[in-house]
Amino acid sequence: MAKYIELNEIRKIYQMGEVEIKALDGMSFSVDREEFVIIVGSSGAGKSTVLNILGGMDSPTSGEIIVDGNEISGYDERELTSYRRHDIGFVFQFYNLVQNLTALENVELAAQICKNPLDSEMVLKQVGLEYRKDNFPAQLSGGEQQRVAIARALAKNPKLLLCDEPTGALDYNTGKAILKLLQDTCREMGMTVVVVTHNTAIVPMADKVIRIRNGKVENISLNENPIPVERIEW
Amino acid sequence: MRNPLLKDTFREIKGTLSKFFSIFAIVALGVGFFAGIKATSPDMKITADKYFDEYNLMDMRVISTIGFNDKDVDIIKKVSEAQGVLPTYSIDALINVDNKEMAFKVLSLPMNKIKKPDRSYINRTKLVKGRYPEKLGEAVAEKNKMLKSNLSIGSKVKLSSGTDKDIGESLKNNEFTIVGIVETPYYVSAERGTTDIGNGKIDSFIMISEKNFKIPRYTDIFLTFKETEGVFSYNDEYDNILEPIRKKLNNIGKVRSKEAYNEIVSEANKKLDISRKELQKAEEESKKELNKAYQEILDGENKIVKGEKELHDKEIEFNKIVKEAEEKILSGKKDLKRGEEEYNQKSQEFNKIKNKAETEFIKGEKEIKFAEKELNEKEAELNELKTFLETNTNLPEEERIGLEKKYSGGIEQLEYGKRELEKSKAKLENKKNQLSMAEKEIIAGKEKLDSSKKQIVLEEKKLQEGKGKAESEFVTGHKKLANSRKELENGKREYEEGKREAEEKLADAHKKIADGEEEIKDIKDPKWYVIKRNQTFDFIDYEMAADRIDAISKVFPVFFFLIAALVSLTTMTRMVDEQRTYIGTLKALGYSKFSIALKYIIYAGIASISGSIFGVLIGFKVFPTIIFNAYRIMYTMPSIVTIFNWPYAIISMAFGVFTTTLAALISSYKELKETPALLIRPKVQKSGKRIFLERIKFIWSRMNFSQKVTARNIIRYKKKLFMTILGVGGCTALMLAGFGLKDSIVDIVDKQFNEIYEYDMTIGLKNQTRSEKQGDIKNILNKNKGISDYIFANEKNINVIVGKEEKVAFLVVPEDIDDLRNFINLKSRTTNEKVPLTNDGVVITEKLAKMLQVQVGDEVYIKDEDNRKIRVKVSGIAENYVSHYIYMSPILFERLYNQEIRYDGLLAKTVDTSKGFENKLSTNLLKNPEISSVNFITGMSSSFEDTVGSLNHVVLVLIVSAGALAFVVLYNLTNVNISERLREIATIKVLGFYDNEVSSYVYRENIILTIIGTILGLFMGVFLHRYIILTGEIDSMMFSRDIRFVSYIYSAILTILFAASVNFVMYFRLKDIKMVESLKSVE
Repeated sequence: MAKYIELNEIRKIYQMGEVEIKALDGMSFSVDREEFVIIVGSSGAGKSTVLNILGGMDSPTSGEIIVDGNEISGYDERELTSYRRHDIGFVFQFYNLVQNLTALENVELAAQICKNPLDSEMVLKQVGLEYRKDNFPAQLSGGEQQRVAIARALAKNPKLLLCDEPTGALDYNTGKAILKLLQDTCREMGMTVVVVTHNTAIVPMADKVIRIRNGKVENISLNENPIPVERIEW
Repeated sequence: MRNPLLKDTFREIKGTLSKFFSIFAIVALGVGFFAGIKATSPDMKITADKYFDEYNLMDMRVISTIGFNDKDVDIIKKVSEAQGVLPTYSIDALINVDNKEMAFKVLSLPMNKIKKPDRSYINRTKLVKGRYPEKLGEAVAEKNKMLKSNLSIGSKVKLSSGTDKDIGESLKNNEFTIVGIVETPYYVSAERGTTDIGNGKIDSFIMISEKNFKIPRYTDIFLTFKETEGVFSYNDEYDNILEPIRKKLNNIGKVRSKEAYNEIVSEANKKLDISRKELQKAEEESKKELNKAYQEILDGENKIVKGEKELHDKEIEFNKIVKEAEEKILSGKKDLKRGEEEYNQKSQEFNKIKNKAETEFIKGEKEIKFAEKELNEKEAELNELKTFLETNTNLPEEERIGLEKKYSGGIEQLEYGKRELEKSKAKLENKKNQLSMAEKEIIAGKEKLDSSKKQIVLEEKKLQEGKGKAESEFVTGHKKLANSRKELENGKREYEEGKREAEEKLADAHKKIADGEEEIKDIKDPKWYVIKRNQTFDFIDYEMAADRIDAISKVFPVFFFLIAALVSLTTMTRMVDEQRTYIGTLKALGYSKFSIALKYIIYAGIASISGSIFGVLIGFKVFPTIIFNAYRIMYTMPSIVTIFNWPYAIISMAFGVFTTTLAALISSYKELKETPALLIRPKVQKSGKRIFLERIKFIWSRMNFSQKVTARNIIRYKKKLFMTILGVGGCTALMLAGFGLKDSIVDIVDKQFNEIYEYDMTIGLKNQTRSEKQGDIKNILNKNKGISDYIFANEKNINVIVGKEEKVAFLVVPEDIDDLRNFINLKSRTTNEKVPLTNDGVVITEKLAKMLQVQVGDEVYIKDEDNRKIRVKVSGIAENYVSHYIYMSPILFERLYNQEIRYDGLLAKTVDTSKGFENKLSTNLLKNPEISSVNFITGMSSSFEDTVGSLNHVVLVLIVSAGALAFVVLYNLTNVNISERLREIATIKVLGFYDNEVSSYVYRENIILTIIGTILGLFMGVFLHRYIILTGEIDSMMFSRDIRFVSYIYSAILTILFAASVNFVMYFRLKDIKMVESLKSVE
């Protein structure tokens, strides 16, 4: 059975002067539709690179990536942009909201450019921020900002929701709340989610955990019964 | 490099080379432009001064209305300050160049001084090509860029005087071969002055050996002075040295003029005396001649009278003779009649006698015949007897004797009878004879009678003939006399005429003498004109050109510099802002504020100092050279001497470095004030804000999403908004000011020469014309088909005084104040209303009014050359751009000056303005002895256009620089803008914005700011332009205040074009932004 997302022998080599840095050294894994996947690894393991490549922000040096039957590893610049635009929702560690737009507008910013977006206000309501929709990012707390960011990603109705250390800039409780939001909304909406983090503590909540080290997959484990976030302590 | 901080600083420079370079560039541009433009005017003057020194340009030129003799020269040489004194000759001549008659100044070359470094050889020439003349028939010419037809080496020229005089009176040679091309500091501009020959304008000059000149007096004396050596001619010091010398020379001139005047007057008097004497002689002679003629006429008359008498006498005598002759004939006729009567009587008688006699004769003859018969019978009887006797000899004797006796008796009887017969015959014959004698007598008488009759007839005929002849003779005699009388009458008439003529001639001669006397009275004191170097046209013209640059450089570069400083400040501030965390870290590590700030100070310092040095070095070279080369189209000058102008270098560098470094200091100090903890944490992002536009729902709701973002962004960063708008606006303003400056200057020509001056030419008169003499000139002009209208006018130099202000202007008095409007359009610039010239006051021109701060109704003083001060009311202020004028009605003039107005020129309109037509017209007019000069508006305007035209190049430099600045400013600002929003841009890229969507997301803001900046810049430009013009205007000129519409368009389009090209360059930068930036932590 064809996987929803499939990475085969992905290599990413940066040429730094005379030194070759192998950020990804033949990484292969797959993600099923509506699966909640967490990729964990320590700094320098190649988390960001794999995220970049999955997110269409970068192309692999070799190997193939297939997302929903499309081989994106062969995409050119413009096709990659379209891929990001229509298929990917991205949640940043530092939220990356446009400071000059209100919460709602930040969601709309993303929604306006894709084919079949969800209703921005509805999504915002979904993340529990309808009462803050006219506030500017600076007026929101970090958690609230991340919710907006998640709403922004969800509103695009993407094939894949990529999250880069979504709790990295948040305190424990807020981080938990955000993770819960992610988990819940994805379940509800049937979204495929890939979270990249160094925090191994949260892995029990995932359907699939991919551990990586030195640009390679160390192991992949499946959780038959993922634990709700509330029950995880770290 | 022990200090890691310093190391870091230099690495920072290396790492942010583009930022470093942008600061460097903007400082270099600002400083270079400022210093370069500022230095141009001094450089131009320095170049000229050096050129003048090198070629020993005169400090002073002395000319005189009558020239100079050696004595004058000697006296001038004795002036203590004099270093070099060069008396020279010059004349004006016509040369036919390429079939065009051109007026040339012919100058003398002091041949023996040419090759020596002789201080007394003034106004030296620079030999550009060829060689100097070696023979009398050789000359050097100039290469004047403004002249279309130049003389070149090998050209042969023939000079003519252009007047009635032969050029041979002034020059030994009149044909020359050009052997060299020269330049001289004496002629720097394209103008060569005016002349009264040809078309009135000197086109060029040639120089020939001074030995060629035959004129008795020097025309020019050039002087140089010891004190002026090494003094910059454009400084006041120079004039301060010259002015006292000028006064001194002027005084010498006055004295020498008086002497020369006396000489001239006495010479003129001498001449007049000679003519007086000649007149006297002529008078006497003519009197003598007339007398002789009169005598002749008298003689003629006498002769005629005598002739008449003679004729009369002759007639009388003739009549007498005729009468006598007639009487004689009459008496002859009477005699003849009597004779005839007598004759008739006689002849009657005779005839009676004759008849009787004839009858008698017949009787006698009969008797005779009878007798004869008888005799014959008797004889026959006798003969018979005889014969009988003879025959009968036997007869008886008786009988015989009887018979013989009878016979002898018969014979005797016969004989007797015969005798008797004979007798009677004789008697008859006698009687017959007698009768025929008588007849003969009668016939003779008749013959006599006939002959006398004939005689009488003859005589009568003769008389008649004589009478006829005499009578015809008398007729011819009378005729002759009548003719003589006629002749005499003619003679008399001729005499009268001759007399009158002679009288007229004499009267003329008298008048001439009187005129001569008048002329002597009128001989103006010869005048010396002492002209300082800084009073010559070429010097002033060039100085004005340099001053115009100076004027422009007053405001323009400053503004330019300010924009540059603003941008470098922005860039520097931004840089410090970006380094917030770094500053915090260092501070946390315990570095002092100063050592932390030092990094930015060093950074800014190095960038701005190196930029300033680079800018100054390039600016001092490039701007003066470009501008000067533009001017060299008009001025014959050597290449520019660019000096390192320390004051401007220091000012501009100091300011450039100061603003940039201070910006670094202040912004780093601002950061340094905060605690390290605060610094290390990301700067609290400035909150987004609702903008007022959102409240206007119907606009806001109509705006699409990105428009809303743009609107918010624009308003959110007020500082950036301000900087961008100011930067862009400043550049637009600079460009508009540049274009506007060009408009203002170029418009002068059109406005002054087409709108204000409606006349086409001015005519200068040799003498000031009294009203009675105007008729002659009017006749000349009326006859000329090329002239459609004209007005007499008087124009003179005066000073206008208000309070302590004193300005030079022209006083113009037209012949007719109403007619003036056809020639000069006196109107108000602002309202466009006509300004009437009345008898109550004067109309003065706008700039003059402004400089003197005079309004309508105020009073000004007019000081003329005789230092008379006259107070007059200003009744109007009129638009005018070149020079200053005061217009006054003739009635007011005569009232104020208490003297009759005399006109020294005319303004005229022509039917055509083509070059050929004007040349012809002016040549034609100048043939008239009353006309001394003809000037055409076309000529004036085109020469003025040339003068201001070079400013175009300067303005072009300004515009290009402003454009470059605009580019750099926009680049910088966009750069700052992008680097400030790097994260945001990366984010939206991650969100899947296409490249063009990303750029339009960023650019929309830029474009709007550029447009706002441009619009604002146009407003700023209007003020900047106005300010530049007001500060930079030359005293003698008013620049047009208007900016043409296209200039706004040009400036706006150029700004937008620059912005677009910056955006184009930035597009690639945006494309290059890595999306990974979005993943980085917030600084």
